[in-house]
Amino acid sequence: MNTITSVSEYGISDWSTPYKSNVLITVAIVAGLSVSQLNPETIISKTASQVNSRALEITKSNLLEILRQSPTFGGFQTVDNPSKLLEVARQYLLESKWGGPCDAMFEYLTDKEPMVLLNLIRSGSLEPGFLSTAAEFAGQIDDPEQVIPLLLKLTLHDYPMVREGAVYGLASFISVEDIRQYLQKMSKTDPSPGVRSAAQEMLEA
Amino acid sequence: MKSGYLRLLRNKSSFEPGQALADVIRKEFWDSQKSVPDLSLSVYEINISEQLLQTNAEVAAGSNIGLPKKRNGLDFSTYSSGWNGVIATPTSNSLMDFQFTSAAHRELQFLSDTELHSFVENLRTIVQNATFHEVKDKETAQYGNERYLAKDKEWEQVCNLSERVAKWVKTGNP
Repeated sequence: MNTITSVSEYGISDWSTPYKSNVLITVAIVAGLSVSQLNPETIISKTASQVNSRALEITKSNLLEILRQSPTFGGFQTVDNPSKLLEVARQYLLESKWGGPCDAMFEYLTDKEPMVLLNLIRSGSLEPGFLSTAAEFAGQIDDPEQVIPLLLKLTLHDYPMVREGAVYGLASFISVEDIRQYLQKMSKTDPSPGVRSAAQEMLEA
Repeated sequence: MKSGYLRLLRNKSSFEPGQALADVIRKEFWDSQKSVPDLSLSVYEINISEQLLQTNAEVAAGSNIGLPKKRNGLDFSTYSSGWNGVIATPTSNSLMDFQFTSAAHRELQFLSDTELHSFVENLRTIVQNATFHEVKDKETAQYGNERYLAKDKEWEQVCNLSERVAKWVKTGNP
């Protein structure tokens, strides 16, 4: 990451360590670079003329824009270092008005920025305690093609509390026969008594 | 009438083994409005066997948050030996409050994150064999619906104030 020093030459002087990864990504987005160009040296050479004028615009809204993008973070799934995406998500959480995950944040995202919530879940930046709650809220997003595969994946999580959150989320789609059958299976086979009970309750509701 | 201190919990599996203490706190003991541990834990001094459903339904409606729902209850008074905090009766003037649950509302207060962590760590050990009081979404919604249909003024008021609450109260569906 020697490039941070180089970027400083173009007027960015305060990139502390936690910001490095998402700054590089954000600069690339601001400059309209493609994923294949997303390496520090290219960013420096391609964006030199734009950095001075646009760098100061790199704000919370840029982080939000990254997280709003498609289920695969736009083209960013091809970035060689996925930890950059994780860093964007973490930074978003820290810079949000809630200061990190909580009910109010999940509720807001569910209503106003559902793709951001889904991408936060995908990013792997949420600890299990938060992931459980996020999964439950995600079930309220009316986009089964995006939500169901994500929640099904969470039903395989090591933590019972996360699997249980996914069960509550999936309950919103219980009219889908495959989901009903899946919950029936979980109600009998999940190793956690709490998860089995939750799945059974959702089937009876 | 025997009373206890009911703590409403979100998940049935939160106290199952193999899960980090920090995640139990993030799931069950976290401030709903900002990302910090909740150092004022709400409990309700009620006859748990008789008033659990009413309490859960009124708390759910009064919170004005559709999710997450509470699915479990635990009598905290059983575990009083682990308490370091003070039980106070908080005051609130919210139009969403119900008279019964407002009167029963207490708070278990902690002075620091460390104190809360110690409490939950101790609680996690001793609740392994505890009897949890299950709360079902369907029963909660049906209770609210019954009160609404009976023209209960408090239930009518929360439905007028919150579209989110009215949705499950008026239909009886969670």
